Amino acid sequence: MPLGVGIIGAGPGVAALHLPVLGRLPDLFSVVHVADAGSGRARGLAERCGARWSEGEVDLLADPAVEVVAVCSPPAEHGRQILAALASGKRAIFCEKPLAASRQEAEDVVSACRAAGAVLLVGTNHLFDAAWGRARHHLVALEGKVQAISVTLALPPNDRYHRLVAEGGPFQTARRGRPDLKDPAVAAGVLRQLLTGLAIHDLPAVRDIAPGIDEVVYARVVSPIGYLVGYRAGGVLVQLALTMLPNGPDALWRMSIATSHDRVEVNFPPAFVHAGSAAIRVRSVDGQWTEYPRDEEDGYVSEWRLLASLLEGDAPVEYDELLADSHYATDLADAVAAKVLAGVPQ
Amino acid sequence: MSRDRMVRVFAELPAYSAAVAELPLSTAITDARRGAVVVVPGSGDWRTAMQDAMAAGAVALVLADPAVLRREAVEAVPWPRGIPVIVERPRLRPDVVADALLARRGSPPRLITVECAAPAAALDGVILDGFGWARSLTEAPLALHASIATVQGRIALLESRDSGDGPVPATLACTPIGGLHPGGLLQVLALGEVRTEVTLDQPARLARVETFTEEGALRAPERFESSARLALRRAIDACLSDGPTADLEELLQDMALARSLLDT
Repeated sequence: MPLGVGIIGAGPGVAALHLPVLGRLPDLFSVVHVADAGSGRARGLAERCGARWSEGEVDLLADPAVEVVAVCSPPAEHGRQILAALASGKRAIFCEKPLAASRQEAEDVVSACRAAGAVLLVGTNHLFDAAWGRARHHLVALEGKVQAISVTLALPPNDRYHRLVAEGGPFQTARRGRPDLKDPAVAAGVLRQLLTGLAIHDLPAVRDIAPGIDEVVYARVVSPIGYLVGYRAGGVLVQLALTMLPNGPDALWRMSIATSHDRVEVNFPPAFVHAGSAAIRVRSVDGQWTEYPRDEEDGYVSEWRLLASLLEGDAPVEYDELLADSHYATDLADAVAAKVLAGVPQ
Repeated sequence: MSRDRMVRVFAELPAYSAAVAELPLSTAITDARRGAVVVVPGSGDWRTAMQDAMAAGAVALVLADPAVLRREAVEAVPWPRGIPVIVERPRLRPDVVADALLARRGSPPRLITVECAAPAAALDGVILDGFGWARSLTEAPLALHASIATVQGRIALLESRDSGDGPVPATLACTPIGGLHPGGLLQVLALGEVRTEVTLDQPARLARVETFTEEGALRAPERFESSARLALRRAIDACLSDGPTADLEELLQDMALARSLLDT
């Protein structure tokens, strides 16, 4: 019997991502309720899958058919809505990244979930990509010392991929005026948003092999919108690069890990589409390149499967890891913003 | 120097003996440096070797795969001037760079990332050419803005001089790796509306330039001419045209950056 899912949020991520993903897993999940924050979009989405709809989260949380609450609202609402779900007696929560907007909020949310014995999963889909799991295993098995990590993103507008998995766009929110990136306060705010909104996809994986943030070496925004961030995590050097482009080639989403011997390159598919797992290339110390094929399933499907496993009790909920992942992202965003505000280099 | 005249080449490196053999109509080996194109090996104190060759009457110099010099040597003036200096950089071949730039069709990059990995003894040279690729793709000189060095490697943030479209930021990361092969790996990404991806892997004998646009991907043809032969041809052309070459100036720019990073 599939579990009833109530989705809080009715934006592009729900329309183009979670509804199609859940549609792929009919034995595990069934969408029973969609709630928006007043946009009216929930009705259209809910009607297509025979679910109820409402405005605000109150009705959804009171709906006895909702067994799993999917928090897919704007990030600032996540913490509050998770706590509200727990207060309503819900014990299974899927939360889109980021988990919380601050360290304190993350502490509150994770503590509350732990105390309630609630299952909590954060949708950092790259972490659940089977290819990343194999890459990590490869790194451990080779016993090479990790020296540097780079995560490089060059992204065309999301709408290009939304159109391949949904109808009725444009899904892209109309852009507001171009921010004045020369203003350090604005630049710091933009960087914080990009790190907690986009870099967050990979930060749990980065933290896995480079825990801690010892020193931000550089941080700057990149035109038209993007970032370059370099920092030291213990002995590991980390570089994050992003450029969001008005047009151009298909998305590049690559994590490279340099060890004392091998280099492991993980190429993730574009967001929203279902092209299988990441593809991995390994370059051995003697110059031999080995390419591994993609798995059929991507991280989006895997994360929902994992949630089902957690609910079955097949795996424990890693509260400490969830909290540490959240803190890592918050700490990095804070450190980067501070670096920019210090004005070096800008 | 007239075109019908055979160019004499003074070279002790086997790669250049082979290159002369591959240019039988335009070059011949000589054991005298006067009036010859002199090939200066890029190992050791090659700056002094260049000066010696000029003093001995060389008509042009080919500097073969130069190593990064100490800061005092880089900053010392004057550098040899007055005759063409061609710099052979196997990881930064002008024909391969031209392939990369041509395929971009004038689209400026938004940012550039360079990653270098090599055994410790070879890493400086890979870094040098990594800076060269960043400079070539931005088509402007670069300045170092921030860097850090650890036992595990180095990272740096750079920015190109603004040549009209705004300065282009670039990063470089380098890590020492094990292995016995003296060469290294250089991976360069120029990101923007056109994406250039360069992979130069000496142990793998791989030199790949790929260009990605909304229409798809283009891989530049492999260059089968040896790097030494290409350098010799360019030296001959420089002699015949009597025009200035930018090789040495660009090498010194890249070396100044490499020195700054390595001295961090």
